Amino acid sequence: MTSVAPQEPEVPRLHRNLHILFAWSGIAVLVLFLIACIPLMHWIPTPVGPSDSGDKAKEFFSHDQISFRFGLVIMMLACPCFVTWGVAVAAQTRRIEHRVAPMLTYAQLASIPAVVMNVVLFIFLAGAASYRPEALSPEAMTWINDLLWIIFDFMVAPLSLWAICMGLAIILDQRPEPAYPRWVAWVNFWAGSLMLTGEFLLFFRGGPMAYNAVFGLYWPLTVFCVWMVVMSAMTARAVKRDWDGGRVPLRDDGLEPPLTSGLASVGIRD
Amino acid sequence: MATAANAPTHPRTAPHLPGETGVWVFIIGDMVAFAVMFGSYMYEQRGAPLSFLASQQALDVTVGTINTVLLLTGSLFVAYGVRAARAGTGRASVLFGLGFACGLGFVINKAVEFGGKFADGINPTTDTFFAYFFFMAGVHLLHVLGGMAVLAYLGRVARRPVLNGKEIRVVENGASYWHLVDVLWIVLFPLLYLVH
Repeated sequence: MTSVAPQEPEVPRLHRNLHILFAWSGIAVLVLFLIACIPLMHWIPTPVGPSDSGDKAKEFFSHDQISFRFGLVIMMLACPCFVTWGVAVAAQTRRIEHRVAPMLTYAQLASIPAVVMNVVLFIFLAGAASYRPEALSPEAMTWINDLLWIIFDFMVAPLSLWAICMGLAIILDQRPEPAYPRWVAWVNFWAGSLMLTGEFLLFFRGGPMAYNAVFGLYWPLTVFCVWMVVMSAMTARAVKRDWDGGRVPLRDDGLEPPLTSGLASVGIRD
Repeated sequence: MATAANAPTHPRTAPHLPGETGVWVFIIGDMVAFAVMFGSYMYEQRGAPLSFLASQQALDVTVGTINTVLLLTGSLFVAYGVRAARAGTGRASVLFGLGFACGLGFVINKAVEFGGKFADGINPTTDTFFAYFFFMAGVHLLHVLGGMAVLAYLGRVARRPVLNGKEIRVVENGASYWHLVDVLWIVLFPLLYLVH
């Protein structure tokens, strides 16, 4: 049966622009996050360290509350941007995994809520601490300050898995025109392994691995920023290259997911 | 134009970068991480030289030296292994196995050293020196374990006598990483054990 397929309607260019916007939303995450943490909340550099007194913690949460809470609101706005950025990269990974069960895509999609959950947990607890600080004793303030920092610095493991899955997908991209240059995979492996220095903070109340020090906070934060910038820029580039190279809409050429007919989808070849 | 005329007329052989470019992104990025650690250590050491010196006395230089010899020997085996893989002599797999054995020796030695320190009541929270010692040596140890996994993989890849270009590249990638692990220790050993 050979019938001429009706002409496919053109894919709206909004898809392309939306995908590029989602890719760049990684930069929005960084900008919102840093604006919230540095000028608004005065959270970086660490105002109350692990060896500071409870009175200092109480003073910090009682002082300049409006700016602190506003910072939390800004940080909350960064969370949806994490989702859009994550799915933009996962969508590229899905194209890489078109011939196999898309395990790395799923792992990335599962990493998004894991990371967002950590951020949201931080926001809820910090919000509660600044909401009624007069009701809490200095001891309770020390405890909540420690807790907030542990959440803030200790969330690197899901980020690490996320980066490693992105790296693996890029290495495994066998298409003639891979989505990402191979060096980007190694940036991901580098980020995935070296963000983990933050995981040592539980053992230290001072020194370089404590939650307010270079390997507890600043090094993982720097690696995180480099990783987000590289993946945002390279994902936006991949989307543009796909569209400008005529690889969208996805074609039935064996290199992209086939457009399944009704028969093919139930395993019958015509 | 003058520069073109003065340029050497005989073509130079293109410089060969072992492995793929991306591996070097990782290696240099990793070295940056360790450079931050080394710099931060030296900064703290300058602030408290006597306390650092006192703690350093508790370390056994012999143990560190044995580990240095093990890693250097391992690197030698790996370098010969790469050469064997390129030449297709069929011995590469054995050489990578010997490199793996050196790594295993390093890990066992390190475990004994760390165990002894814990038994003496010394741990990462003892003082700033030991915080750095366990942290830097620990992160390096993770690199060694990763390197051993890489060498085990290379041993499998190199089992066939003649490797294709892609497999040679994989071998070079892994060997470059192993040499990184070695180089980091070459800096770490004098820094922790010798420089007072």
